[in-house]
Amino acid sequence: MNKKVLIVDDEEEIVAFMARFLKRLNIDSVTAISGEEALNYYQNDKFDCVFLDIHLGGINGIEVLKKIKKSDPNAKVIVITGSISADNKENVISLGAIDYLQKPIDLADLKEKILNYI
Amino acid sequence: MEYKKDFRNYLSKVAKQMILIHDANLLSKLVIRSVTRSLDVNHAGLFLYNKNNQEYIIKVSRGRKGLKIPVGFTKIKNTNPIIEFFSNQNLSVNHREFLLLSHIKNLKEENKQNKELVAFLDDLENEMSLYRADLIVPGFFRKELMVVFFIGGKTDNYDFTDDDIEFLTVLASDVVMAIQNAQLFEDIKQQLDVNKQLLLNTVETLATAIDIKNAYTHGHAERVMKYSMTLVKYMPRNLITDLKSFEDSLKISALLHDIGKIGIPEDILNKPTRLSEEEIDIVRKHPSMGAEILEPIDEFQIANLGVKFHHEKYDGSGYPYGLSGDNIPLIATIISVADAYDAMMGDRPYRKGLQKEQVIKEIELNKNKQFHPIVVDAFLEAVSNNEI
Repeated sequence: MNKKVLIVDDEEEIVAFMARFLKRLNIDSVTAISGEEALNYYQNDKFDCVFLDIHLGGINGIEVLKKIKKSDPNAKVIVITGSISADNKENVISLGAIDYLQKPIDLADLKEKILNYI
Repeated sequence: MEYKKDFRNYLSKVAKQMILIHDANLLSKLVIRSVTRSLDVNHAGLFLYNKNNQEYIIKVSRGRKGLKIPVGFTKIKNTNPIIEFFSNQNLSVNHREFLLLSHIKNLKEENKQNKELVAFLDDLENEMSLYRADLIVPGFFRKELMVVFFIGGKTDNYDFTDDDIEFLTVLASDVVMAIQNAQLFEDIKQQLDVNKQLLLNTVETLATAIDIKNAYTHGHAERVMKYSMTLVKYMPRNLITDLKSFEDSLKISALLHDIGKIGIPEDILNKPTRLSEEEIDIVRKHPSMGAEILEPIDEFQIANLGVKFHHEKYDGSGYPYGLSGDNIPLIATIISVADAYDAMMGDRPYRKGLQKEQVIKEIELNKNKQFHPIVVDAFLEAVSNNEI
């Protein structure tokens, strides 16, 4: 059985590209382009990992992170962000994210992280 | 296809546009647009070298259909096989012109006894297919790989022609040239900014030196500069051709307007009683003495007009030249109002400073007499907006 991840980003091109990248590592993915959609998927399915963009329209990524961690304290969430300042990074980690990636993402890093965590 | 008729001509047109653009993002967009317009390809993008981090950032990728890679979403390290293929001199298959995905198969076949190389070629193939690149064209500056074009398949599914590849090769070297040019431009701009700041610091130090000499006018130069910069905002735009450079000159001029007082003995400047005729003559020379001091500095030509003529009056009764009306340079008419305002507000050896309302009234009364009417109007407007 392939591992399965949830990819959340409000840019459709990004989730499509990520899904394609993960597919090549034999990892299945479900994509969501809003926080609402992501939470809906998360409640109804099981994921080995979540890639979560912090800057979302509607419910923002921080809220999504909090809600996911509340419903599932063991959830593995990797936060993706355009710019992250030092305290921001500590903030997402203290909220329960296992790691974070800053855009532009080095896909070799991404691969290493995902294989490490799932 | 525009380029098929005469793609060299088209390229030189694009190159001419590129040289004018000094922003890497904009440049990338223009280039990719040129590629997608000229070649019928599914998509095109480029990786741009970031020297500081030794990595390549995806700048643009667009296509009519097919893959769109999110701009600025990914980067690759210089150890990425796509980069290595063009930059690693130790690679036996390394070459520097271009790489077709379809060639990798042949390369693997030709080198099948070299396991390490085949593994590398597998990685390379994999990486190219991730970006759905059928063709990769590099651009170098000296030995450094600066830019990598990745081009998706042609919409008609035909192979790339020699002309297509030549087009992209020339374009890649044009991009490198334009980026080098942009970098140079940026460096020069920074250098100029640094120099300008240095100059301004020197001018400010000089202005302070004049101020210190004169016990009663402490901070005068700085205040005249501030008032002048406010006044210029309220001047009609059509009177000033290049506002930015006029403001730069005005700032320097206002700070240095009394520089000629350097040559006047302190006991005259700080004398508590009325000056004698002789002493008045000496004081009245400070604008022309100041002009003489600044004369050798070419960059101060406009600023110097303010120094030289800031005591001229609109009705011709000023000193030392007795110019009148529009014969007085605009820069001097602005400093004249700012200077008079600050002088009247402050204490003097022989009198106390006036109330602000009185000073404003005094300036209004002297419209068309001491002061240029347009500057007085600007002054009153600035006052009514609480900016003075």
